[in-house]
Amino acid sequence: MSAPPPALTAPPSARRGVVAHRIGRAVASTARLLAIFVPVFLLGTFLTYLLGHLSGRSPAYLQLGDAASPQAVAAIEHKWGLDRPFLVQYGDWLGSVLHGDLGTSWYNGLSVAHALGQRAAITLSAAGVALVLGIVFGFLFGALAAHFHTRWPDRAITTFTTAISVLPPFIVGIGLAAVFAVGLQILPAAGYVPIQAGLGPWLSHLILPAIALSFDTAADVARQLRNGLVSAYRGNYVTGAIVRGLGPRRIFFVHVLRNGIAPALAVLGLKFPNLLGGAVIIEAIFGLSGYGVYASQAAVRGDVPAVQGVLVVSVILVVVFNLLVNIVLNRVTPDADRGV
Amino acid sequence: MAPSAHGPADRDAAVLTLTDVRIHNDAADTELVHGVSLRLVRGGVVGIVGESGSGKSLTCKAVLGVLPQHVEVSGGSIELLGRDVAGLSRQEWTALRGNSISAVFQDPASYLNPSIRVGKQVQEVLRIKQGLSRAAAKQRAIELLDAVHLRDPDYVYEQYVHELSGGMLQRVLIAIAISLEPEVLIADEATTALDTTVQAGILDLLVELKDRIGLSLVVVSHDLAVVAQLCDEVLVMRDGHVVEQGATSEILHAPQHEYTRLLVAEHEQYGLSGSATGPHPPVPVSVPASVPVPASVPVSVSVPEPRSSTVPESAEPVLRVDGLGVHFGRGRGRKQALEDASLVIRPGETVGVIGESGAGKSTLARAVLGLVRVSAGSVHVAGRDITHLSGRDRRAFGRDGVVQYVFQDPLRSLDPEHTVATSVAEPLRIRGGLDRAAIDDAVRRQFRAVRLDESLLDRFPGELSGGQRQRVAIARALISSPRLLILDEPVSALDSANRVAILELLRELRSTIDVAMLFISHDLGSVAGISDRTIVLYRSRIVEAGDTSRIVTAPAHPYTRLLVGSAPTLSSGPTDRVQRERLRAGLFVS
Repeated sequence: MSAPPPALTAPPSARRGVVAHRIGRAVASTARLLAIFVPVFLLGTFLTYLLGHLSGRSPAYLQLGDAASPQAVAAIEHKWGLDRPFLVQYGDWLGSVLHGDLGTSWYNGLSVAHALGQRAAITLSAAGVALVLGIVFGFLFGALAAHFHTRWPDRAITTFTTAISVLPPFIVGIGLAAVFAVGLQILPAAGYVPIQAGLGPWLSHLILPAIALSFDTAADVARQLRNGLVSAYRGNYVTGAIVRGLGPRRIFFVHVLRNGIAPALAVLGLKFPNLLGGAVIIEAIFGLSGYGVYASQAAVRGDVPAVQGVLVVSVILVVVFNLLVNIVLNRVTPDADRGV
Repeated sequence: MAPSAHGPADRDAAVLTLTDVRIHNDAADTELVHGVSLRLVRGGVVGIVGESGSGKSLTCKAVLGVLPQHVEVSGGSIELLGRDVAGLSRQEWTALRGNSISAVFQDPASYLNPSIRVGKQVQEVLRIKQGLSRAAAKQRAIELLDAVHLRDPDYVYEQYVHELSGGMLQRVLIAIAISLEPEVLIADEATTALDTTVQAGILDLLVELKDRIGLSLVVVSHDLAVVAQLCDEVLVMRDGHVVEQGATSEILHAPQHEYTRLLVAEHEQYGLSGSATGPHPPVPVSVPASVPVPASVPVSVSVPEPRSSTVPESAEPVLRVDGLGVHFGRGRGRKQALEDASLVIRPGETVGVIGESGAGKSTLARAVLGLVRVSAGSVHVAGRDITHLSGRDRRAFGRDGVVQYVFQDPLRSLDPEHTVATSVAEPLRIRGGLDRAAIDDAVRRQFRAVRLDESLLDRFPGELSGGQRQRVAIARALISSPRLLILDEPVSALDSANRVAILELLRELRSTIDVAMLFISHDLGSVAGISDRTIVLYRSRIVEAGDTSRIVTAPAHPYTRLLVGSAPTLSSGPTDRVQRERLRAGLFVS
């Protein structure tokens, strides 16, 4: 029989503990992510509410106009509970938010949650399609550029992505509308059709705003992925895989992609807020009554609960999306599993 | 499956033949390798020795068909199993690699995918190349991990790269490399940067595999002793030329080329020869009278003359460490880095510290410097307790320059934006009290003391060679006239010639100036060549301490015996292997 190895620093035998250890680690890393999520959510909502409070806006002026008497103002503020201490108001509001109640609009007295719910579908459709386009084209361009590293396709893609990343979405949007809706007349210039009315009409109304929104994301994902893949290709483990006789396709998909994808995924997490923010302008151009338009109108009117509602939903969307990105990152590169 | 129908007639058939292979860099239009020829027979071992940049690794890459971009074989031929590899298509290469030829390299951690469990990577090759089912491939992978003597293969299978040690990872890579039973295995610096004892284990494994499964090996190393231990034939390369080639015993005992003689001489002066682990007669040597050989080979242990003029026992020690304990982390993550360490260094004395990585060598040095929190015991420097100095006292103590430190990598410990003269002058400038001319004078004196030409004063670290940089670092350490100089692996990053030169310099400085040294190294040869006394650290504890000559010739602790028996020597035989196996087994039990 063979003698024991000289691995003097070998860890103690722990075969039975392996599985439990793996599960424990997965739970621990998810718990760590949640532990980040909760304070970020609390801080986000607190700042959101504080901003509304500091704005000094009051429903009284919105409803009564300039001619309001101090008594009438006080009566309305009392009705809305605005005469209570700030922290009590915040606690009250946060409690409702957790129950899905975002309050009532000062402007028209309608439920903010209800109004947002209708509009969020439009915005999320546009942002979602933009996200898919950004991922698909970003990954395609990034992978191609890395594959043809330093040759002409790489240079062409780099030039193209640099060019489109500096074009603001509203310019792209207007340009696209001018070409495809006004010039070629193959796509509608404005409006929205719910998905229930059919995938074709829904997509034909969304595709132009989504393309306009996606440029920035596609460009950044492509650039990060290219660099990530190029440096992963330089890794010794790629030489190792070649020497073991693995084919180029397997090396790319199993060994290179997995280790080069992390920066692109991280950038995706950063880009998501941009997609939501960009929607405000894009919706205005393409006549979509989405949540961006709702937010800008509410802000102009001084409708504090509506603005707060939009911000809370945005905070939740962004934090949840980043949580997902981090979970994926931890799964793809377990050696980097050191928290968020 | 590898074709295994080799009759006895094939015994002497060459599996790999290089004929005048030249390698050319097309981008720079320079030839990098100027003609390498070698013949590897079935079950044979050929070694290539040379420093980085000598072209030995490029030659290996050419054989594997993985030369970098713009670099290609411009002349000669490479025949693998009777087939010229020059015209192979990409598919043919993919089919050949792994099945007929494979390789392992330096820095094993970087040759495995960090995001995939190591077992999966063993299994992957079996699944893709042999078409085994997942279950069958996994079973075979675990057998392979067992075959390379990884303790608990099921456990190793489930680990990621960052969870295993370098020695274990190299075993995993060897398991992958032999998984398809190739004829040829290239080991390119496969044991470099591993601890001595781990290195010996890997080399023993390669020999065992060669005998057991009939591998033919190409062993590439900068260390002549590593190659000498394994190979029948040796090529010595320098600057792309093969400067010497022949049977190992001839190269060792009658080196013709100046460079080969240097390599042999290095081992004579700063290596260990023979074995202290058991009776082992030296290889009989017959040196042709015509060849000037520095001394008889192999030499006995080269330990500095016991210096009779040493300070009386009663003199106040420069360094006194009592029951020192250091730990990192807390709770379940707590790791004891050093436990109950005690030592004394008297004025002018040189004490060596040896141990594998993670044994606590650097922690000891950092504790003396006050860079880590000490959790137990005390440190006295020149009679002063410095264990728990306040921040201000610590800085004042640092400015006095009583203790100075020389790092392993001079390129990273010297400010690249400062001329070396500025770096050397810094300890004097922060102390104040000296004008420009006096400082300049002191820097020049220091330059002369470390045998650096004064014309180098205004150079930047990047413009100097590794050896020159380390001299600068030593000059900077000595300029504040320290009582104690801590040298942390000062020669580990240097090539043979510079290693010898720096060790010579340290020996010389020790006799000309009154400074005590704490010399830390994982290389027993360097430690033995310079230290009066030696301390052996193993798993955070001092397991042995005493006169260097005694440690080297009559080691008491099993780890020290394994260490002494593992040091690569120009002459060691199978007896050593058996001895080592026994010692390893002993260490596991204890």
